[in-house]
Amino acid sequence: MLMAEESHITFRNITKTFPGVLALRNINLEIKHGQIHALLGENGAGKSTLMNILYGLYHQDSGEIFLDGEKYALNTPKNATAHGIGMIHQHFMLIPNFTILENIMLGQTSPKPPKLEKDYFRKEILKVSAKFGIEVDLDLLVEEVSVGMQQKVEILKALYKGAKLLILDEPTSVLTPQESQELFKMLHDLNNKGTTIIFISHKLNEVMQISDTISVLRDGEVVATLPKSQTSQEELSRLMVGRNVNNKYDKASEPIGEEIFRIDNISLHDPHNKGRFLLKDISIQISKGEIVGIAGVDQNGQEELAEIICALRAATFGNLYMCRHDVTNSTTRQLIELGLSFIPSDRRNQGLVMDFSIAENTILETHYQKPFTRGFSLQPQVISDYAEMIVKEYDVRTPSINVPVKNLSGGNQQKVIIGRELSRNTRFLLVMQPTMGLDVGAIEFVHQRLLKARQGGMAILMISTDLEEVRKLSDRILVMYEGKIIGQADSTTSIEKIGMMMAGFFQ
Amino acid sequence: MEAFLMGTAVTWLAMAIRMSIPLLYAGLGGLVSQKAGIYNFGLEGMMLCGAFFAYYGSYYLGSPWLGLILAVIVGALLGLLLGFTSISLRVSQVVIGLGIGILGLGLTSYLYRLLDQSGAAHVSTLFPIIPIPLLSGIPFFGEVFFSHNFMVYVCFGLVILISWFFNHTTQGLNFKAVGENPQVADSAGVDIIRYRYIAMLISGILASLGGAFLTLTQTALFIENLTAGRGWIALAAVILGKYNAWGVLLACFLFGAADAAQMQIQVMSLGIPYQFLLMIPYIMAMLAMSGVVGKVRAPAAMGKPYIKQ
Ligand SMILES: Nc1ncnc2c1ncn2[C@@H]1O[C@H](COP(=O)(O)OP(=O)(O)OP(=O)(O)O)[C@@H](O)[C@H]1O
Ligand SMILES: [Mg+2]
Repeated sequence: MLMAEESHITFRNITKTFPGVLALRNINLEIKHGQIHALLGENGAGKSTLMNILYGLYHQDSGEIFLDGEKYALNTPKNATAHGIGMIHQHFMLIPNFTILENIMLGQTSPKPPKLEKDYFRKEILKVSAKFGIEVDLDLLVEEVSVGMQQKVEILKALYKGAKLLILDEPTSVLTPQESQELFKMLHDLNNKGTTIIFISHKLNEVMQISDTISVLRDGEVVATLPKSQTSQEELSRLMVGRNVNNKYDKASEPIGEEIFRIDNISLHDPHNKGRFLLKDISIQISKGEIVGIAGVDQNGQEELAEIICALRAATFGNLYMCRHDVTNSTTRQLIELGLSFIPSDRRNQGLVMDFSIAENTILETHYQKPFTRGFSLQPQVISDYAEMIVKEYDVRTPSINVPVKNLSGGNQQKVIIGRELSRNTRFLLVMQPTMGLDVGAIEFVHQRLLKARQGGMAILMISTDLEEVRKLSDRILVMYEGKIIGQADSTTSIEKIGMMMAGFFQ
Repeated sequence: MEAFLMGTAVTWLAMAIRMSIPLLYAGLGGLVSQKAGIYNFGLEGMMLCGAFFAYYGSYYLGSPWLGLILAVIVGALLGLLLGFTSISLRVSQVVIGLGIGILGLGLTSYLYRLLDQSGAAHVSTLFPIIPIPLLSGIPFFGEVFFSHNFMVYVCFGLVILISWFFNHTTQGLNFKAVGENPQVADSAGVDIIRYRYIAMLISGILASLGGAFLTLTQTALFIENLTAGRGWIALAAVILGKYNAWGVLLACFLFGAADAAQMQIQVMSLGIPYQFLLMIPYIMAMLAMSGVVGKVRAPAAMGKPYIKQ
């Protein structure tokens, strides 16, 4: 490519502090034209912060940014858009009850003010979508389409506004493996047509698959920038975490104990279509000291099953038993008191109250119990000691336990949830996507924790779309497809075979 | 008998429209502010102030037009007050709204007594009824729809205008985006603060006009607490109307019809204590709020002040 060696963006001596945190320290980094440049780094290393500064959502304390060799000051999102910088955030910037068309045309100047001129914009947007080969149905509401489709809409929106540089912050963390592959194909096409791409991810195999150049951040500093051809996954993980990461676990095989939780013939009607079942005849028994993994492509009923187990939704037929008590009609609180813990997949909406502090979030389910409450009053000292303990144990990177969790980096938010759920007297743990958004070091840590809990006699049901994770940790693997358990496997079953079952092929 | 029934129906419907117009002005005001993501709990106070100052203008300055202008100015000021405190100072919208309600009641009662200590009723000039040529001659419909004062026609015009604005203009789309998700609107280059101030300005003026309608076309008098909770009913109408201008129109008409019915039943003296009849519109408002209409989706960012990063 002609301009391939020219600098698109140069960061020079960028420093940024938040109250109590030095998020970026003297960052020097060059992004070249026409490249796919990956940013790697531990949770809280400062990747999102650096990109938010480029896009103008935050401002650096000191340092400069150069765009095509010229100084780029006044960084605001509006100005960034005008200069051809587009950003796809971890949580999408779309209005759910607007159509895709309305979302893309929002803020554009109409050719015939004050009329909206939807038809004009429709034509213009379709031109862009044809040019880049991104197909979307402009008339659907955003809330009606899948997450993968919403991401496409975001990308199309940025391209329509003239983006020459696309920033994607952990784009694959919300996608199924298939959707990820589609995204990569699309990014490659865009890249071939001259778009520069900055790609943030924790998944080393993805980074090795897609990028030309890789930069590693650690504690707010760039520790290395390497061309892909000259590095390996092992080297990258060492650079990120500062040590070798172990990803083979020795799983002592424990004698399986008594039954802790039993799902007995659970079925669920589709509320929108009475003839259809979202779940059909699901029966699973989870015993003391075992991890049962449920593998499956997203949207095959896992979310609904989890909600039924936690009493957030009622099943149409079937029963649930905990320690041989019928808990089919129990409330969530009763289940928690019986020893249920739940790590949900949607941490922003289900796992945390984003405006609450870390300390408040650590006692969400138990705040009314002793020792956190005595009589009618909360015990601030007890609560902060408890929160401090979790923050320390689970290596949550934060200046204090009193900051609202929304100020934490994505991975550190996840650690708060895991710490909270594993620090109770849990008998049965339901966990979904436990390591979403975590860096390789933290993933290893969480996996070790889950194995330790299993060793300690916890019964664990793990639902994950990450097949590697399921295979590494589970004693038994069940494959879920279209609301049914369609097969059994274990850690010795080949990936290909499980993959086939996940796609709906029976043996 | 048939003629009598017909006559009653015409009177009732025409009265229903007249009773629903003050609600509709205020309801449209509530709609505009809520679309931009701000609760206007001050509707009642704004209406009351509008009613008083319109009366003041009409009686003491001698022309209902001056009263109308005064009401517009007062409404604008109250709207901006709610806007400034909730948008710029980020004070709770509920607290400020209720504050405006109490202020409106206290201020208008006080000023009214100050103006006139004799206790005699001073009747002001009303806006005349303008029957629309030809249309008003149509039997039944002519009298129900086309024989009103100009404020009624303007109000129906506003419904059309507001509905068109939200669905067919760029600014209308921006407006809705501000109420749904200001972060998104901001990053698309929409000036949140400006839109919200404009919304509050319009909202205040409309609410005040709702009050002015009462004194300039109906009562010709001011009394303490003249609006008697109509601002709150208007707020219910916004929800019952599902945040849509035509929906608000229908909801207001429903409340107006209930009010007109209770007045006619009083006239017929059927022996029902009138206090019960007076309750009808309020009971309907409560039913509306308790979800008779099913799930209503409010703008997602409602009530939350916007803090730029
Ligand atoms: N708005 C904020 N207020 C206070 N501190 C913040 C804020 N945003 C980020 N931080 C802090 O800055 C540091 C860097 O965070 P950042 O979100 O950039 O990390 P990251 O590399 O994107 O991590 P992750 O992989 O977990 O998303 C963290 O310590 C975080 O707590
Ligand atoms: Mg991040």
